[in-house]
Amino acid sequence: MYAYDTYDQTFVDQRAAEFRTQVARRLSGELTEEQFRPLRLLNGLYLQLHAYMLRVAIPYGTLSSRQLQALADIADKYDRGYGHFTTRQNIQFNWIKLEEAPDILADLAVVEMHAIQTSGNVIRNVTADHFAGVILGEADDPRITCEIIRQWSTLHPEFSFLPRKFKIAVTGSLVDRAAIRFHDIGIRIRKAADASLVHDIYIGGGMGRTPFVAPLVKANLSKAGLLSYLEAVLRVYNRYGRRDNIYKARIKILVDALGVDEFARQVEAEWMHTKLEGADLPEAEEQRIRAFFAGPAYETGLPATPIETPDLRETGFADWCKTSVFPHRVPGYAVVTISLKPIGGIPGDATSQQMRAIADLAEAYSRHEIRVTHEQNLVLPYVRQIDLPVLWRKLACEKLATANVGLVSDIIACPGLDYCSLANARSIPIAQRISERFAELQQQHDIGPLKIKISGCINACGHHHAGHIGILGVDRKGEEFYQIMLGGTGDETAAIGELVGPGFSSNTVVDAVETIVKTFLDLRQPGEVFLNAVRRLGLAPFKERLYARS
Amino acid sequence: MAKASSSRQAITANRLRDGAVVYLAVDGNWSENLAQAATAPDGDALKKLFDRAAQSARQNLIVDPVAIAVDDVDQTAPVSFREKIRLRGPSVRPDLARI
Ligand code: SF4
Repeated sequence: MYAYDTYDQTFVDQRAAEFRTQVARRLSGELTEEQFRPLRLLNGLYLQLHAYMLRVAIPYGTLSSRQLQALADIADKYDRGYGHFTTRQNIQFNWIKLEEAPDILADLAVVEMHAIQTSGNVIRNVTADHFAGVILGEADDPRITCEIIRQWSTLHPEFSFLPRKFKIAVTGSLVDRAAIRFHDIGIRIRKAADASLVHDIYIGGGMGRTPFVAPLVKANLSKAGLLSYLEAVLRVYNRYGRRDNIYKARIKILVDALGVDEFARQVEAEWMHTKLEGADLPEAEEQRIRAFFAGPAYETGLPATPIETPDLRETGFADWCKTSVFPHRVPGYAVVTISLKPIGGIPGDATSQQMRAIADLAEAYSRHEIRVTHEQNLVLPYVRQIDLPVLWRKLACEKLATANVGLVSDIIACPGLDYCSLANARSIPIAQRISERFAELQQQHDIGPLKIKISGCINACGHHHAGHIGILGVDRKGEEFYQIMLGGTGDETAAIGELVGPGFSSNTVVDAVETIVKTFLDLRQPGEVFLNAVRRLGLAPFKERLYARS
Repeated sequence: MAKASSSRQAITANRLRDGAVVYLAVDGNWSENLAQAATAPDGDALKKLFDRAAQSARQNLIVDPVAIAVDDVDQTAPVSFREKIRLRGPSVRPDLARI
């Protein structure tokens, strides 16, 4: 893992100290709310429906056991004993007091954490494939690129007041677990024919009011030219991005308005300048950062599968292995996804007790490391196959062994109207009711991979556009209503879901989801997964069944 | 279900120091209890309440004051769903309910 040097630590400490003085000045009245709001947002502090909410950055979703312990302590000391992992690989605390926020930032700084770049019109916390560095077939660990971008972008004077927020995601795999094409910039690292590392740069993707799948703007960008190229992209955006209309201010609108070719041409022209300005990283510095991500010293000669004992055969261990255990690039090891989606639970929420338990398990079985996924689950990246049974038992004790990862009850849901001041409708209760409707595990396994994603408003924090079944909460004359989209996906075949028809009331939306799933089960070909069936069949048979009765 | 009718409004805000949901009370203080809130029909009386809220904002007691409709029959109940959730707490965490 990356470890702070004196420069990083001093910066984060100073930032926490600075915020302490800003909060004191606000409480004393020296700063008005108007003056203070941008300062608190620069430190991830929002005012939500019930209290202040602090969004803590988890750079590229990587946490140490010590950091997760610290988050559990914060949940107990300053919040109400839980936190919410978000679709941007961050964590949010929902019950923060302004007067205590400076103490939290100070506590975070002790464990090399902060809440910078989690809000505002800046380059936000960069996200990555949550299996970075451990999955088979990866060209390079994307976190190296993420860390380089973090260091380049934090407090970059030119990019501190962008037209809108700016999100970057990076993967080193052909399988896209980071939804790169739904980001302002998505980066795929590949090995070129000569085995050198190159980047394919996708620009102008996003969800929200106007969803776009990012087009490929630059292929085969050499590693050495990455930062100067990104700088050129940001410069063109900063110059021409619409500041007059918040709904048209994201880079996706600019790319669409100019057209991909013209946008690419302008970036190339700007790149001629930025290349000469020395933005690119010297090789030695890249190597220094790379060394932090070398991974642990792996044991050799380990058994390639867990040893089966009779009690394991009797219980749910096999089901859990099927959904939660992924192949590791090193023989004898496994990558384990911990579902934060118990049946009827709140997607992405973890209690302080669960956080401590996971931190302890990571310490014992995963070299002190945890990952946060954009699908609101956690990952233990370095588990020995022989440790899987004991790990599973211990997770089950904490209600963390639900065998539903990637299945119909592994639902993404944003906080929605239960917490969020921008929401039109609740997301969480819909997720809870859907997971209860499909609670029976065998049924979930029969249905197969199915991603349901729910947002409480058009801002799409719940990624509804990229859901195989996407659900968007809207306000219809003071009532919660839900629109359903089908066929979206954030993977390497990225697509925006298509609206299936008129919306459903909160009473009928879960029935509608069940009708969609039943239609799929009736019409699917042998072995066909939900997304492929929707692509083959189109919306017509689903519409027919959904609206036939009305 | 018949819609609640509303001809009166209360003023709500978040308390500056901790963000808690508060209502402008009859005595001019800010209370976490909507039952203590001053209510008024649209017009001069409501404007007076709002002026008082704006003064509290200037005194750095509260932020973002807004007027909300309350039920004519049960004046301790807001009309909008959003305000019901603000009053009670997240619907998905009854253990954290305020009332
Ligand atoms: S999608 Fe809307 S309701 Fe959901 S968290 Fe984002 S802003 Fe809030």
